[in-house]
Amino acid sequence: MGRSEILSLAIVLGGCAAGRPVVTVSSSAASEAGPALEEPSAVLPFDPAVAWGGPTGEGTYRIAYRPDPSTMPEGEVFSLEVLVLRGGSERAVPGAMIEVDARMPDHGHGMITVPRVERTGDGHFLVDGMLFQMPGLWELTVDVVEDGVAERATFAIELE
Amino acid sequence: MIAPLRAPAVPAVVLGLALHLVGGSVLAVAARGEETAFSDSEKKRILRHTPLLPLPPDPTNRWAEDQRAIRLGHRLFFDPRLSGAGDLSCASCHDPALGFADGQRLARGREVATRHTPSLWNVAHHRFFFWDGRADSLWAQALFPIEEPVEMDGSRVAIARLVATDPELRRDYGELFGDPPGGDLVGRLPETARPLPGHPGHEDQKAWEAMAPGDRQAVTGVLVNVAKALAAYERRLLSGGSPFDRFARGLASGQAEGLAALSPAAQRGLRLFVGEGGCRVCHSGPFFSDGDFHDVGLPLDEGETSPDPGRLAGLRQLLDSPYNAAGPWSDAPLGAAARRLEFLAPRSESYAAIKTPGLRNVALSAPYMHRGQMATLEDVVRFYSTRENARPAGHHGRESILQPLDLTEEQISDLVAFLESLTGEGPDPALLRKPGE
Repeated sequence: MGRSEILSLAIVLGGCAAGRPVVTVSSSAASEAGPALEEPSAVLPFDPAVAWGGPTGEGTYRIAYRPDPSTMPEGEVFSLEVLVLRGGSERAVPGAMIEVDARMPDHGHGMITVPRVERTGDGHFLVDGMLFQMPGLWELTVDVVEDGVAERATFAIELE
Repeated sequence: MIAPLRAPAVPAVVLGLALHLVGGSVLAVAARGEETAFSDSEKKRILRHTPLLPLPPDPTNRWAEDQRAIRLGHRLFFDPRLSGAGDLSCASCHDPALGFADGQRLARGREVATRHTPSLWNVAHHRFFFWDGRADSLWAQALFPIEEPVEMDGSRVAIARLVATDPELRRDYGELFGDPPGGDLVGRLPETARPLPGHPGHEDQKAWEAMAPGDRQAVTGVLVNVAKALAAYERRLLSGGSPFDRFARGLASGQAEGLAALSPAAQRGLRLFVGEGGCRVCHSGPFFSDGDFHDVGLPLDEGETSPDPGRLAGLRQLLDSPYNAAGPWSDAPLGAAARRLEFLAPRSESYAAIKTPGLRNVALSAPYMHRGQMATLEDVVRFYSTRENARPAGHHGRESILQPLDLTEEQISDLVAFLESLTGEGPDPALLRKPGE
């Protein structure tokens, strides 16, 4: 299969995929990376465009996450599915690991649990054991560690 | 919204009603003017403390809502036969007349304990139990003091004998849990026996070790059922609506009758509580507790050489306990509370961290703090105001919010007036008496 065919296929799929749970995603940035294009395009477990998330501090990565259950509960364990994408390329980052925590900045304390992170694929993680024990403002932090360098993304979550 | 008495939304006739209802105190409010006006953000914070939440379910105790269990638990709560010498019941330390506490600094059962008896008001709403949270259900909590040598000093074998041989208990227990162990088992049981791994030389521990595993299982089952009945009763000890709740309803609706429910002093105290006092940071939500554990830097008490390890030790005990929500005696070993256990782990700030007590009905259960160090609510407020003799923050993540507040004498008494407004109407008074009295 030629290079141009891969690109067009990826763009078509990406263009019609909003809201679907499983989607093949690529973007124009893929054309810059020669060797990567010889691999099959990455299949992401969920569409980052419809998940929550945002960039890490320096913009090196973009985090997408979705909770399970989809409404984060108060006082009960929930999990997060997290995607780590290369900033600007929407490609999963295969060599990254993450650490996840959450604190209440107004209360000066964190969660009563210590979540466990399981790597479930390239740039794809399942974070189990999240627990927001009270309503209010929570700051979720996702530290991406790649090649020994960490970069943090922080997300504000208001739990009603 | 601006509030009581100065709010344009409150018509004059309604103001007149308020004046009629509480007379002088409302005049005082009117005279003080500004002090009664709550800003929108204050109002929002105040309304986070009300209304009361419904009784939360406890899936780990399948009898939690059973009326027969509540009745049996009520009787057992006042029954001194659960203790080793037949002289102490749960109510000996959790005295309804003393806010379901005992009025003492340190609990006194068979001996003097190392912590203060906590009140049982609204205990159903706790997430963890004991000052250090070493139980994660109310029934698992109720097991401990019955057999604890310094508390009731009872034994599960003696309790299994009692349930098997007392006709009334045997009948009521049997209706709920099925027949208790019968004559065969009772005939081969020692008089008393209980697991006391911390007291290897204790006669009860030796007798327990000598019992057959199946007999131990049967006897433990009786104790767990007794504890589940006790918990079903204790869940009903709910403080109910208080003057504060009536005031907050008035604040939300503008109805003067509600607004008149708090004295001017209590209203000023409320403003401090949700504002510069910072009290709400930990005493949050409808029960005025975040359910979490904190080291507030209390000075070492007489007889203490180091702080109570608090949550750090309590969490280890909870995770190791066969009576936790994930254990074989739980009725929901795969439920939410069990799942939570998988991820609980000590943190640096767990050391010396003590559970935030709720504040509803707090005025009924002096003295205060986990060693009863503070005789009055005024003493507690004064400690947070001055931080006098507070232990310096170490490396364990002391609460950074705890800075001296430098309150005036009037502010201290205002805060106390507010705390006193949290006393509720209580449940059916019959629940507060020994059955039959």
